Amino acid sequence: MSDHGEGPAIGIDLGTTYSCVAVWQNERVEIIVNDQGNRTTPSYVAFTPIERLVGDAAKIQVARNPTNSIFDAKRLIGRRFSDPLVQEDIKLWPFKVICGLDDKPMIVVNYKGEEKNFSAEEISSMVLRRMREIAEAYLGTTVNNAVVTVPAYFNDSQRKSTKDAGGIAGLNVLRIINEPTAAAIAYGLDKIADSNGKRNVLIFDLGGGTADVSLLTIEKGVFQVKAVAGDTHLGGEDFDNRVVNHFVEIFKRQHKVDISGNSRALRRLRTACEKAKKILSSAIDTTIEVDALCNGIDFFSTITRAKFAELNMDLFRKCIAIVEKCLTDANMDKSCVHAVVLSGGSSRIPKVQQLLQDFFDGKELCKSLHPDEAVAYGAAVQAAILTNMRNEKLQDIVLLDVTPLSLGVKANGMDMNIMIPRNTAIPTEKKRYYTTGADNQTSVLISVYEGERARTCDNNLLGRFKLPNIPPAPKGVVKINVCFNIDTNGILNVSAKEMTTGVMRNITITNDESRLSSEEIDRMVQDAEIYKAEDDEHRKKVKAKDALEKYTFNLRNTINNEKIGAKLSRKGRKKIKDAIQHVNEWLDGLQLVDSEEYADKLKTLKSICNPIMERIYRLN
Amino acid sequence: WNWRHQTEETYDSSSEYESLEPDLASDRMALGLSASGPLKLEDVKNAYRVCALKWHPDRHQGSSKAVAEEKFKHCSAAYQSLCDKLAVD
Repeated sequence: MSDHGEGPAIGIDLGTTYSCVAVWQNERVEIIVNDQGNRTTPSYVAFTPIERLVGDAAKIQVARNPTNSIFDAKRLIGRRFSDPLVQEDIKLWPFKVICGLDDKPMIVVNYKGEEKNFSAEEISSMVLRRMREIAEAYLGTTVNNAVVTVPAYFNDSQRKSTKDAGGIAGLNVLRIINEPTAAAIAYGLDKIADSNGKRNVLIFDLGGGTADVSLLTIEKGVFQVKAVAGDTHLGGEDFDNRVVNHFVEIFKRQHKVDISGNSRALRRLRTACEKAKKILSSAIDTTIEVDALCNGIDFFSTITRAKFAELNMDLFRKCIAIVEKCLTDANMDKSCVHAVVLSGGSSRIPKVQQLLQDFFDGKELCKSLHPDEAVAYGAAVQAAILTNMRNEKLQDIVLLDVTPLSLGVKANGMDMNIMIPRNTAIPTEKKRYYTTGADNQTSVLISVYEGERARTCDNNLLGRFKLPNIPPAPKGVVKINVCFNIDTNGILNVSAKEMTTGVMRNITITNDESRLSSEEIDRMVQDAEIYKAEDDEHRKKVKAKDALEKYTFNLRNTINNEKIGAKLSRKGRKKIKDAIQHVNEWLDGLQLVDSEEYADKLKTLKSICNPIMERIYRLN
Repeated sequence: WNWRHQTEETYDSSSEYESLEPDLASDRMALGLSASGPLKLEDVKNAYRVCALKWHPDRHQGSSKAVAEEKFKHCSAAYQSLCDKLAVD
């Protein structure tokens, strides 16, 4: 992190469904629009027989190409294939996910006629690279440094994997920060100057895939996170699922056709449901219309806001339970909260707002942030702070974040021995001594877990490593110093030293089971370069083809022009017409070919037509 | 801790080093507070905020970063233990 090189640093909100990029420029944050003029970009990557698409272009074609259009990579990243949540999601996804090495989920796609496997990190890296390109196009310079956000409730391996995704995208990830903390910066930045008092702020961040609640105190530029709580698998997409299932049932009842196995129909219905959900945040009822949904049957139905709320009530209540847990963890009464700040697209849902407001005894909610952009905004501010941008607004800001889950080792059989309790300020370091439990024990296996349960088998195993070559001694004599270190990214490092003999052996977990090795990352970086080169090659072909088509089009217009056409000899005219005809037939008859072939054709065409045209212009 | 298991996996926690009575005076000094005398939670919080602005690694560049990070960790630990102590009293 000490070396952040040249150029601007951007903030990227890498979302489950949409991503957003922002930069600090001219004393303020600018949200960067993409080439479609949109301020957020779908987190979609699609593979077709001829090219790879990322963002808007990928989402638009999804109904045509459901099995090779990948989304929701954030719901896979840093998780195991055997994770029950992953298994649930696989049932809903139209694309194929298989179990790779070490229980790592791999996404299977068909790209240019070949079957390829991608990890969630690689798919996310493609989205990150896209966001980087959007920023580069806007800023007119290369961008190497970025702050990337993750849900506050992301665990260690999800954070590490997100950082790896940044690496594969060729980005130097300055920092992984928590989404609600970023939203808090967006909220608090302008309020620092004009408030001397302490404010307790609750950030309610409900996005497309995750729900997060953070409680902070903001006082004179210090953003201190008191507690975080959340669910990394609860958001807008889950609400969509409920609506989709509702209409699948209705369609079945109305037409006696079950579309639940038809991924194309489901996709089109889902798109309609997502749209209806958004409309229901402002209207009280809306219609769902999908032409020729299945077997040529047009589907038409209506849904009210109340019905939508009813379908999702248990999920909405889950959100409120998260708020409650956060307040309990922070040991704060809800009456002490000065502001309840909304962030994330799903925080627009009226029923969610009403439940939240009721929970806070009718307190007015703060809706001053743009729910889709606040996180990227905060990330851009943090990027500016970390690259030492000189600005009086940024001068006295510091973020004190916390770790969301308790971390510990397995001891005495199956007890969770907590080293770092949840909601501890980061960076942090804890050391503790352990000893052997048997005489002449020569090695110790240290298992590292995260989670809140008393028994390790109920918690999540992060990794294990062996400390070998312990000198023989009676049990309880050997001293092993185990050190847990959490860096500013919230990422854990564990080391162990055997102290008795004065010799220190130091082992660090660099590679827990689900995580990519540095060799794999290197390979993926190279692959990413290859894909980028292929994308560029494709663009070059399209450009060359376009140049040829443009030339023939202009030429035809010219010879059809009365003034110029009249001056052409019949022979010359025929020669040009034939040449155009020949090129058009050639273009129609084939798929995309090498850019050189188009260039050659263009050259030949020019060599035939230019002399004739020149003669006419000379006559003028 | 007489519990036994297959030799390789066995280790026990020995709490002798962590159960040391927390040294309140040194915690107070770490946050720049006076070593003794009456102490209010509000004072501890303010002192920690000042320390954070001074020592958080984000506020340092280059060689001073590592030193600052150590200082910050030390302050955080002191803050936590003082808060725990005041909460009990």
